[in-house]
Amino acid sequence: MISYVGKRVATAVFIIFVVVSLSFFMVRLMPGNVMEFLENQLARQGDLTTQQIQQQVNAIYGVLPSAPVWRQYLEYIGHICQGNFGTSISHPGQSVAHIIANALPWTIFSVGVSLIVSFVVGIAVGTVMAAAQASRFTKFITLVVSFLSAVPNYLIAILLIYFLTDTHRLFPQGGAYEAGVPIGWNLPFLSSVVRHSVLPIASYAIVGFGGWALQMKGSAISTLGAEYVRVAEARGLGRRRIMQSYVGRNSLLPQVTLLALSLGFMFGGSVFIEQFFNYPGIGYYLISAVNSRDYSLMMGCFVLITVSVVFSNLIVDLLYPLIDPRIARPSVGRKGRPSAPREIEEQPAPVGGTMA
Amino acid sequence: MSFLRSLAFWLDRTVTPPGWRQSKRRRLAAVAAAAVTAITVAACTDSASTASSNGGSNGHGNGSNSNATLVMASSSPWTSWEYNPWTTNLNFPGAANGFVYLPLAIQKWPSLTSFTPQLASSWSVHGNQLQVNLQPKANWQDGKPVTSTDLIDTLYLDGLIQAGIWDDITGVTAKGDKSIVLTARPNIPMVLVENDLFNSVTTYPASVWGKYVTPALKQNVNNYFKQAATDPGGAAKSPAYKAMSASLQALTKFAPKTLVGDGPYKLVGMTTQEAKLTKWDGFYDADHITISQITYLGYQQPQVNANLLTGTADFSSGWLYMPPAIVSQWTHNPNAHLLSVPGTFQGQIVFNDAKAPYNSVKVRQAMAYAFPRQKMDELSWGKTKAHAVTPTVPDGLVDQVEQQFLTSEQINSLNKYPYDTAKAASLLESAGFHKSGGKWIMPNGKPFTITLEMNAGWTDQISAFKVAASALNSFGIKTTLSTVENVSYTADLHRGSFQIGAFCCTGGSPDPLVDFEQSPMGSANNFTATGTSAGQRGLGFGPMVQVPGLGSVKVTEELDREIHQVAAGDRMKELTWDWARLVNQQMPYLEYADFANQIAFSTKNFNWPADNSPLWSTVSNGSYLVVVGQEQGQISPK
Repeated sequence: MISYVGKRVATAVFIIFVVVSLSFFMVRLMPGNVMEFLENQLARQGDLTTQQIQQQVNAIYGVLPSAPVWRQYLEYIGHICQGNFGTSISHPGQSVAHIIANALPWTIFSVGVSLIVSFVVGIAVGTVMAAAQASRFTKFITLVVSFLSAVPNYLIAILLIYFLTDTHRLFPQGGAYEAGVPIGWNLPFLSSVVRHSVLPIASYAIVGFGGWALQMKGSAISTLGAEYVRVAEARGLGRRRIMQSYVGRNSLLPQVTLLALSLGFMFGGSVFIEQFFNYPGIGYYLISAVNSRDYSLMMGCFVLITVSVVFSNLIVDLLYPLIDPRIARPSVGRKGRPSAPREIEEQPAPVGGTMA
Repeated sequence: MSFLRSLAFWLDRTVTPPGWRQSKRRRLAAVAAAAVTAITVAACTDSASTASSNGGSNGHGNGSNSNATLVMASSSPWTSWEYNPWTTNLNFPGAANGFVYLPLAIQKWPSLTSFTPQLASSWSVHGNQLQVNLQPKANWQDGKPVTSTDLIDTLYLDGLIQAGIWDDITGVTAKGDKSIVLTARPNIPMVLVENDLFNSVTTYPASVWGKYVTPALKQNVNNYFKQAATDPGGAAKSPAYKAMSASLQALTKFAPKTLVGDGPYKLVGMTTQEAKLTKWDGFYDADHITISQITYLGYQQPQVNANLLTGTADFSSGWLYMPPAIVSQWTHNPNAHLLSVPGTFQGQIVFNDAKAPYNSVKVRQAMAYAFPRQKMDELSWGKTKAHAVTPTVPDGLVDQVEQQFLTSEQINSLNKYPYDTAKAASLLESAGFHKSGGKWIMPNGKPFTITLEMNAGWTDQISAFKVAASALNSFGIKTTLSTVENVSYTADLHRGSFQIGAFCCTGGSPDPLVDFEQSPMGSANNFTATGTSAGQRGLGFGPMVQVPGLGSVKVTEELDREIHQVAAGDRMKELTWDWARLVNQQMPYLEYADFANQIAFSTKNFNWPADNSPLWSTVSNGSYLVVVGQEQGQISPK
């Protein structure tokens, strides 16, 4: 078991190191830099001469890092190991960690809630679809969820903005809360936060629940054909009990695994929606950093996304042996069942109610 | 609600242990119901309050103007904001300019010498000194009076970011609590001092920023600029400059919690979406301010247009761009107005002047005839109240400035370069090109092909360049259009890594020499010597060029020198004529679209000046328009 955990942790650390290293060099291959970006922006304001623009940019930013890239890289890795992501170039005086710490709660809130909503609704719909496979309802819903799972979430966002903010002004067009509301644990602020989050969450959830529903339907249908379900039917248990205790719970386990993996992707998946709704989360600042060539902030966001994905995978990896010890010690499983180990592993493990 | 109950029941039955079921079932249903109720109530409550405030504010329903809220949509969205004006200009709230902080004076277009007083109530020139008198009743929003110390401290802190005013003056002193005196450098026209002071300097409170203005800082700024006047290179390496850099580093780390302004409005709050401003009763001219609140929205252009069309926004200014279809919808609204205010910018087609075949003047002139500029503009921006129109003469000046500084005889003597493929063909043939199989062949025997490079973000100009590509293909030049992401595009232009590209946007100043200096042949884009692009060729025009009336000059250095030494008057007109002829004859770049600085407003909830009011033709900034319009009694809630 210790060997298993050690291997998984080492692999996770190695993956993070490789991705961070690749990201470091790739962002520096991008043409342009933050000073050129600012020069363009100042030029667009139109009331400064060329010299003034250049002098101001130089004065504000000083000079770009001139040390060899390999030295910058080593310093960066060293700083990361100490939890120091540097200072944002486009937000002078603000540390990257500070910017990310401010943005993170908004992404966790909006993507997290939408993930839970889409998961719960998707699982419910998927189970109903599996239970009544031949019904017109299922055929119709299958069509709907297939369509929704194929539609990009930003398209849904555009439609929501058009219908619910422009045509009917039911919700605010963007932002995380209303300007001027006192920030804190008070009703006006919380109410404003909830109201501003409805459309971003809906954009994620409307698209997301379709995938969960289809996966749940597939999982539940395969569980319906399992031997323990047929045994339960043969024993005369009621349909409702079989669906709830035998089918529902067992087909839900793989979905919970996927949910854990999805949590890791939540930060990277927020880019488009946060842009459309000016929602100040990680994706919002990542796009801003890319557009302004803010290397430090870009790297901070990339590291966060990478670590979250790798970490969630690691958690799932570490939880598996608790559910099925054969994963950590495969030789035990093979000794006990030499004839058909694969078939056994591929079956969803029955949990609860099977001995009724 | 029944669905949620069912869902809660199902979850309860499937994912919770049997022991939990009875106790948790109702709780879960209750939590789900409470969540939905909270969202609904929040939505309804805020919708209701918004509708109510809009109703009161915008005059819907009760006709009262006591809570008037002007919704102003800006097409300059912000990602983040900081209340430190010296950190970077991009992160300081745009809504603060004019509303929270008063300008000293506002330029009266198209004059270069006339200003509308604001925080500076009056000013006078005495020899090489400019005395500026501040509004006697002006106060800061923390209750302190606005004094000469505020303005002097601001000037010194502006010195840290190399503000242009310090290129004009040798020093600044207080004359009592409410006046300052600026001493100009030798040979610097006082009009330039006024221009740089009033157009570029905004006063900030010494109560917030004065702690950074130490005697040592003042000494360093004075020493640096004294040396920079004669030895800029040496000044940049001086101890004074290093000390200034250290002072700036310390200054930029300071992050005030809010803005302490002296203008008619206070900043109430700000998000990534909007800034809210409320009238400040302590403003010295508060009696004339009739709009009690302003919501300043930061959006991308399509959303600004949507807000105007749906009536969400009352006003929009500053780089407003409405596509022809939107203009059509907007102008069908009886309350809608779309006007052009001063500040027209130019869009140019730039040639890689250092690279064959565009290093040939004849080829560049041929291209000027071969680009169907009017068709490009009309198909992209329409004909009715168009955002961009074709300049009458491609001479590097927008029509409004051109008419101020050139005589009609001079303008008529310039080549208008109408779309004329016969003349283009003639010029190409005289440059050694020939046609074979309907395609143009270069003097070196290779087919003449063009890649038009365009910034991927300039969607309107992309459509214009598609029209150009089509016309050039028909003319016999195989032309493709390549769109490049913003920062990469700019880098390509600086490196000189392009054939023909688009340049946007320069001009916008009533000073023609500044317009030429900011153009593609200016020092920012052509043989750049300083800044981040130092050493790059850019446009590649020159560097030594025979300029009509001036002889052989280094274009970039000459333009940089002139903008600091030549004020409005006969000499400026002479130089304008010289540079206009150069651009028109040698065609270093082709001016193809003049972009109007448009504003849109709705008279549904507010009274605005008539479309022919001088206010619209003398003020270019939207925030200034709203403030000055109220002060003059021309803008008010209905």
